[in-house]
Amino acid sequence: MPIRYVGFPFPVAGQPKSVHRQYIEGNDVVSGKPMMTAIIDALTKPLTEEEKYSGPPPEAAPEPRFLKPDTAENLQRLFKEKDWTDYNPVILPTEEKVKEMLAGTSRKPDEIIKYLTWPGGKRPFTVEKAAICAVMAGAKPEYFPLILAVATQVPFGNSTSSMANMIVVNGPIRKELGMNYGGNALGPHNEVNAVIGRVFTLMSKTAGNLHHGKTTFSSLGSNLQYNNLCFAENEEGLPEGWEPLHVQMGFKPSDSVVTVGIGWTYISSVGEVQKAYPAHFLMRDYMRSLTAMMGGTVLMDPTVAALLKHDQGFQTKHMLSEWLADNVEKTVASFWGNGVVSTFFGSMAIQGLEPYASYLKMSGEKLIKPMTAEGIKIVVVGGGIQTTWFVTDFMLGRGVLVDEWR
Amino acid sequence: MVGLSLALTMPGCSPARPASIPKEEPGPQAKRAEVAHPEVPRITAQELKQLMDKKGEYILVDTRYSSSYDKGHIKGAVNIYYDTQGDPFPRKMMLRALPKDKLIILYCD
Repeated sequence: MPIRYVGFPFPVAGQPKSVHRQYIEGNDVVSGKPMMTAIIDALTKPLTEEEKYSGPPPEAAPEPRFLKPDTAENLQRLFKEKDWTDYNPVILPTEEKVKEMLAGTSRKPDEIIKYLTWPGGKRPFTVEKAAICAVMAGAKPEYFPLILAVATQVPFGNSTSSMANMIVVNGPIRKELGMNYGGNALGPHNEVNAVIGRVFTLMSKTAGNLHHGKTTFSSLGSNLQYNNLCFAENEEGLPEGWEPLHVQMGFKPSDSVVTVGIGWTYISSVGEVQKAYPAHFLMRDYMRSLTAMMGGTVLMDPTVAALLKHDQGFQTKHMLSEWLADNVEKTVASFWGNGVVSTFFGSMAIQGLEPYASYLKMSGEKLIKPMTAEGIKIVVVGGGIQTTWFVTDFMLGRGVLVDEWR
Repeated sequence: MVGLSLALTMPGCSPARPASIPKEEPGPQAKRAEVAHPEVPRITAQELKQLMDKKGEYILVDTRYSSSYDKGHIKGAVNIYYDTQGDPFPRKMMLRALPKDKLIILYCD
C-alpha cells in the first residue's frame, strides 16, 4: 500500500525546540497544508483507490537500453541533464564500446551483481550496467574485473552528514593494471586510480539512483566522492612482519582484493615526523578529533612504517592498532557530541549495549577509549618521499575477491 | 558484522506480509532460495538458551521492526532493524557499534 507521509523542513537534527515548534506550526513540505491538518488528514481520510493496493511494491519501470542516436555534443548535454555523470565529460557508452568492456570478464552481461533497493524499487544491477559506467569513466576492458568487484559495494555513502568512501586495492591486480601505490598515489596522477574511483561514483549515481535534491541530501557534500580515495597499498614498502591489508583479512598474498570503506574525514600529518615527537604520538593526538565510531584507517608512507617498526618497536600493524586503541581518548561529552554517534550508538546504549550503556552513566568530562584495535586499520601507501601520513575515520568493510570477477 | 555471526533458526523468518495476500506453498527450490543469507550458520533456540545459561560472550541482535522489538524481545537483545527496502545508512551505522570480538547472534520473526 502506498504510504502517506508528511515532511518537515531541513534541518531537524540538532535544532532547538523553538525551531521544531515552528515546523509543527508551519506547513507540510509535501502537501503545503498546515502541518497538523496534514497529519490528521493522513491518518483519518479514507483511502483512495490507489492507496487500497495491498500487493508487493511494483518493480521499478525498466529503463530503455538504447538512446536515440544524436550528436556527441547533444548526448554529453543529455547525460549531464539526466545527472548520469560527475559533470566531467564522459566517454559515450556506445554498443560497441560496451561490448569491448564486457570482453574483460567471463560473466554474462545480464548477470545480476546485486539488487539495489534504496532509494525505491528493486533494481537489478547487472554486469552490463557496470560495463556502461566503466566505459563512461574511461576504463579499459582489463580494469573490468576490479570494477565488478567494486560494483558489489555500490552505492557510495549517502547521508545528510556528507559521507564518502575509500577504495583500497591489494594483490597482483595492482601491478597488472599499473595502479599507483607509490608517490602521489592519492593524487590525480594515475589513470587506473582515477578511473576506478570515478566508476564507483558513476555507478552510484546511475544504478544507485542517487541524485541531489531527489534521493540524496548531503548538506555540504563531499569532494572525496569524485574519486572515493581510490588507491592501492604499497605492499612492497611494508616492513617485515607488517602484512598487507588483505592478508590481515585472511586472504592469500596472491589474491587480488578490493576493500571499500565508508567515512567522512582525513587529517594529514602535514609535516614530516619529528624525532622528539614520534609519529604514533601525533597520530594519537589527531585521532582524538575523529568521530571515533570504533576506529578508522591510518594511511602512512613506507618511511613512516619503517620508523614505527625499527625505532618505535611496532613489529606488526596490529601492535600499532592496539597502542592507538589504548591511547586515543576522548571525553564522554565529546563522544556523544557527534550527532551520528548519539543517534545510532545512543539508541543501542539505552538498550544496554556495552560499553555505550556505561558511557551514558558517566559524567561528560570522564575520559574514555572509544576505539578498538580491530577497528583501526593500517595501510601503507606512498613513495618514500616524505615521512607523512593521514589518520581517517574511514571504516573498511570486508574485502572482495577480484579474481572471482575475471 | 565481520567474522562470527549466527542466525537463530526460527520458522518463517521473512518480511511480514499483509494479511490480504494468500501465502502460496513454495516448491523445494523456492524454499531453499527463501532462506536469507544461507552462508550464515544457524543455531536453535535451545542452543541459544544453553549459551545464555553459561553466560557466554555474545551480542544478541533483534532484526525486527522497532515496534515488534518494543512489544517484546529476548532479554539483552539490541534492535537493529533489517529493512530490505529502506535506507541502509541507519543500519550500517548501528552495525559499527557492535564489538568485533564477540559472537553476534541475529534473530527475526
